[in-house]
Amino acid sequence: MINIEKADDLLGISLNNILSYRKKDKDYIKLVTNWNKKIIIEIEKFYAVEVIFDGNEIKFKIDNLDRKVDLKVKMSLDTLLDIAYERLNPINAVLKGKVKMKGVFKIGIVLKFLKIFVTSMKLVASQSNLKYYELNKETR
Amino acid sequence: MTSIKERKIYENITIEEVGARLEEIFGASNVSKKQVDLYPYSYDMTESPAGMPDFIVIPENKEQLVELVKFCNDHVIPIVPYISGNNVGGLTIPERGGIIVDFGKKMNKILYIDDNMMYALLEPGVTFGQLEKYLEENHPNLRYSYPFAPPYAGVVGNVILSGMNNMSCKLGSMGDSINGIEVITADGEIARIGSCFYGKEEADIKSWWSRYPMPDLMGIFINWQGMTGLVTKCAVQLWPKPKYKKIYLAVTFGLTDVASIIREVGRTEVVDDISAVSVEVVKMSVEVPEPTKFPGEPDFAALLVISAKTQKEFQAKKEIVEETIDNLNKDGKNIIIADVDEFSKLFSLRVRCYLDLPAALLSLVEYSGLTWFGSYTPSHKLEELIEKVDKVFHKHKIPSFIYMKSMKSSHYSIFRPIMRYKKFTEGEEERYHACLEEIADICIDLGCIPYKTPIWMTKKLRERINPGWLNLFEKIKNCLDPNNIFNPGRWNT
Repeated sequence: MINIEKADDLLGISLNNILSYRKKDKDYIKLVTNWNKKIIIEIEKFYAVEVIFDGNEIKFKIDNLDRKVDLKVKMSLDTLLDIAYERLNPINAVLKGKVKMKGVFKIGIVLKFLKIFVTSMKLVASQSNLKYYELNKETR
Repeated sequence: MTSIKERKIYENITIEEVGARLEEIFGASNVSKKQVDLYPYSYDMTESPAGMPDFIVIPENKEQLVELVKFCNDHVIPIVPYISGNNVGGLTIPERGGIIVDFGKKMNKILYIDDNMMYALLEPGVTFGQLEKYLEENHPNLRYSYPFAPPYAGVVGNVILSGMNNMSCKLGSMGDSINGIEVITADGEIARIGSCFYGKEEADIKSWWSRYPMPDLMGIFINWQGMTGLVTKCAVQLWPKPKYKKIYLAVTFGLTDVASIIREVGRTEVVDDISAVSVEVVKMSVEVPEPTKFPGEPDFAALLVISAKTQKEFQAKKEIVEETIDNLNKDGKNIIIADVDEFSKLFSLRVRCYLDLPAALLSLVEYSGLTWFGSYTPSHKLEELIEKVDKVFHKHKIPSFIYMKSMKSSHYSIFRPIMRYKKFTEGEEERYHACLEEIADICIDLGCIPYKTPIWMTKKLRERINPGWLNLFEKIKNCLDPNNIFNPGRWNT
């Protein structure tokens, strides 16, 4: 069981949506639990969000971001969508400079980030049912 | 303002006699004067003061309504039409008591769809959801246009008050797409306007195909923000359903940048619709009930709808839109566009309620109270309006909720600041009304013309309107409705 904080900023809402997609998947829970890393994701022209993996919780922060984090990732909205919809391979995106990373040499963290975030994003993007009123059964 | 003769309702007839006559006309099971039945008709979502009707009747046909109008005209009894009570202007709250005519229960039939001439002939109680479903199941090659409203809102009420729709950039107001109406005038006569005027008795259902070329008498019955007659049928235009349709999302960074999208993309004439909302509204739809805008977030989100008959046509239209946005960015605007189907999956599918109209939009139906200043607006004033109205929202600590639309290739726009509130919480109506009144003053000063107007707003308009227009307006109203029985009180008549 993992708890993912409900955010009320646009990127936080989106990250919550993506990271919640597999929250009942045992492998995903294992991957995320006790990772205890801080990742900053910045979408160009928007702003940066710090994603904090803490025990069995995932939290978001948009102000007073930590100076020392484990990984910083920056890309445009277009690149994010291209990766999610598999028009662009994330590794190629880094090599082409479309995704900028600080901490790229921490290979273990980068690979785990890809497994957690990019894989979830691709799964969310590949869902075929767009009927929002059928999907959000847990909501009001 | 010309003086209106004070009059007492039921001065020459008792309420019991009225009840007996109504039962004769409609049958006892379709008439009620029980408080428990009347109460739901006495208020709406807005802060407009409540007012109880004396009776509610459920009509089944126009013959009953002819009898009703004659009776009410003889005895000076107000008639207030009602479909589902979803207007945001207190328009069906009885200002002076009288009889509510609830069309929504039985006079709600889709009478005819002409596939060939592309129109739908409707009774007043037909709802948007009903029409959409019917077309989808029976005429999948045709489409109608839908407003930013729930599926249970009435089509005819919205049409005859010139509401907007999700093809407004192409078509303009809904009132522009009326082919014809059947209306009962105060003396009980039935008039048909449009090409349906042929025929001594009933009109051929295939004859409702055009509004012109006769004098446009439609104008004396539509847009009155009240009534001059009782509309019993209305024919609205339909359009071919395009093979290709896609919606793009444009987000703007910079409070007023969205105004240039509305104007410049609108005038390319390649989009069906451009609607824009404050970023706070996007959050409302994904369950952030009292949102604030954070630094770095865009100010507005606009939806640009492109449709086409072929892939080639679609591609060409898309290129025109992209080029227009590129040019705006080169001019210093800060706009990002994305495919909304792609974006919504990653963000939250809940925002798709804005794409699949008509829909119960959480941002509008979440609270028990809803009020707005809905207006037709000169597009060149949008920047000033956005800046000033946004400040007022902040001053009153109310989430900014601005809804805008490009109309008829941006010949004009819709500008609509909206507020949701807890209607039954002490002091909330007054607090929100104070904010709305301030917004109304700013908007009217800048030339906005409100539609579906509550009474308090028309008072403000009267102070500024050319006296000649007001006199003419009242002369026509008095001529068509000499005893002021049709929804009296609207426009302070």
